[in-house]
Amino acid sequence: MKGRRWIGSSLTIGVFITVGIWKVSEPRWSHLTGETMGTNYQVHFKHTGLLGIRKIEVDIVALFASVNMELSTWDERSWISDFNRAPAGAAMAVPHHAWTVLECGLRVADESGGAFSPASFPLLKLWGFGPNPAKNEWVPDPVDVEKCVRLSDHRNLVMERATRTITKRMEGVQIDCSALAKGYAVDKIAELLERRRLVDFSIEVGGEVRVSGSNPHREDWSIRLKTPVDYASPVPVIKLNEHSIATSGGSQDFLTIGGIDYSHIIDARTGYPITKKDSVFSVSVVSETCMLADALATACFVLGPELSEQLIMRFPDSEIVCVVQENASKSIALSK
Amino acid sequence: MISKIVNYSLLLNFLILAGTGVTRFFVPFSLSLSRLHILTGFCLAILVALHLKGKGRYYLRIISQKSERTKKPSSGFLLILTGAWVLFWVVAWNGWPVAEQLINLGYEARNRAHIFRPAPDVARLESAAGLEVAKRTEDDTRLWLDLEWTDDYRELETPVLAVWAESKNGTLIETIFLSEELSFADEVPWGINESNTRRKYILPIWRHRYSIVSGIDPDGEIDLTSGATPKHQFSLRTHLEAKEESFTLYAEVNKSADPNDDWADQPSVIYAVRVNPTDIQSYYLLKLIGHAGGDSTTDGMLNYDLSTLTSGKNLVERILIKVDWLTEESVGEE
Repeated sequence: MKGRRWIGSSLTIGVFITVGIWKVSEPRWSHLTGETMGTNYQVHFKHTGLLGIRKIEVDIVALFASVNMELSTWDERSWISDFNRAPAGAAMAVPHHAWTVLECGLRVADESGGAFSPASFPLLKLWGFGPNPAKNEWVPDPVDVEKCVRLSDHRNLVMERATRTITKRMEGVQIDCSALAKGYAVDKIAELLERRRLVDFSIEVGGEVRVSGSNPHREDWSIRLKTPVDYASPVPVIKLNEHSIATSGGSQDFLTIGGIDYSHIIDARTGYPITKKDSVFSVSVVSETCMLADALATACFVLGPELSEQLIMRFPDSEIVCVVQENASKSIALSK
Repeated sequence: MISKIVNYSLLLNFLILAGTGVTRFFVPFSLSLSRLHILTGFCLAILVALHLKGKGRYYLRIISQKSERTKKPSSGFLLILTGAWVLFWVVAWNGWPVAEQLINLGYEARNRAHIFRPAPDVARLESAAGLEVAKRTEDDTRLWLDLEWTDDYRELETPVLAVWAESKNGTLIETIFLSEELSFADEVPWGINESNTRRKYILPIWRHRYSIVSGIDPDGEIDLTSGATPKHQFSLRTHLEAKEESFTLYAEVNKSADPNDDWADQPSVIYAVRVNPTDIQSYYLLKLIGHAGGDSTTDGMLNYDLSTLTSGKNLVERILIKVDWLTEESVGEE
């Protein structure tokens, strides 16, 4: 009698444990969201219940904190702020995140003929963008613009690979990696998920996106491109199962002076921002890494559709889509 | 007799506590269920205390091993039992493996993307006549909203409502209020048959804006949106602190099972007002500007022709807001 009771109890407990393990190890989707870099992020991934979601969330937050500590111009104690205060000629050691981002930024700057420059912080400040933005009511003096153009030339930055140091050639040269930092953070989160052997995921930080595998419906990920309010054509949607997409445009952050909307994206060659009256609403670039897509999107927004196509030709595995707003809004894919 | 009452009450309360606890784990948040669970928990604590009253000697006997050995557990066994329970509580408290995975199976964890909760600096007071919402930012700028339903909807069948702020670029900055009925699931009972209906058919304009910032598309057709990084996307506080940018406050209202000659169920209506920091006034009345019928569920665009709506236009008596901007004078006063 006693033995039967034991067998019955053991069987019941066994069934509970089996069902519990089966439920816990069933694949499911999780969604993490939060705020970082002055915007929001979201990470969507498929995993089994045995994976510690809270640990992933903590790792993501820690990653953002470490990227910010190196690359945020809004934080006066960050590495980039230290570099911006450093005198010309002094070689400064570059930490890991900053090195990767600057290397990519300078490559895109070279290829774009200086239209994009990671050294354009003086221009951003002159026009009233960046941290502690000034509320400019008039266009800056052309003499000041010219001075800042000289400072914003990316060739003022010399990176020494052997010693992992960077030196500025001119006094007053300052860097700003906002055009790449979000994309870089997206790539690092992707690495973090891949290290945990996750295959199906999407990451988005402030409109910069990276995907892998399939979405919860077992299809390619559908990414909608933001369009103008009065957009006439069907909303462009891009389907991806790998790679990244980043978009640059002036519709969100701009300054209105004398009835003209000046975007926060500045042509480092001329020193003048891209204005809203220009026909391109936004430029999206698909690339292997989100950091590269991010930098290329900014460079292409400055260059315009024709020159962008030439730039993209130099980057294998990259493609470009422009959303233009002329008489009738439309999107054009400029692939190789 | 008293011990029988206590024992029987213990059994009933235990069943309710266990039942509500398990139900809370699997279903959307319900205030009534939570209240029942918590109050039953208090009752159970009192009943357990009554049950233990006078049993001090019994426990002393167990611990001191004074009675017959065969019936009493050994001190080693007691130590292991206590240790096992302590381990269980520590694992549960810290969310260590297994505990966290089990919690992730719950409704809240599985549906966190669809659950909406207002920011901690938003207070709300609902009554039969209407509702008040107050948002107070760190810099002491205050936004206060007062909504009054029309007489027909004051007591029963209160319409559902979303209130949100948008930047001048048309980006949702923050959802300030969402009716509780819609806050905990993307599908809720709606219409004459109370059939499960997605939020995109109830408040299409808010849902469309919300999907752009949350990335959770109502149809699942779009997974993500790529665009220029929105400025001040999520925090109204930065707008109010900056004192340099205007914003638009929207309210979308809908009433279930509200047909007329043109509509099987009249669509939601949208009220809006533009708030500018340079305005002299601090009070604003929201104006009825359109409805969300037709294609709004797919394109999120407003329809401005209100001629086909009847009772749908008369759900709200008025929506008044007051914005107290932080000014140098007010700082001086304080």
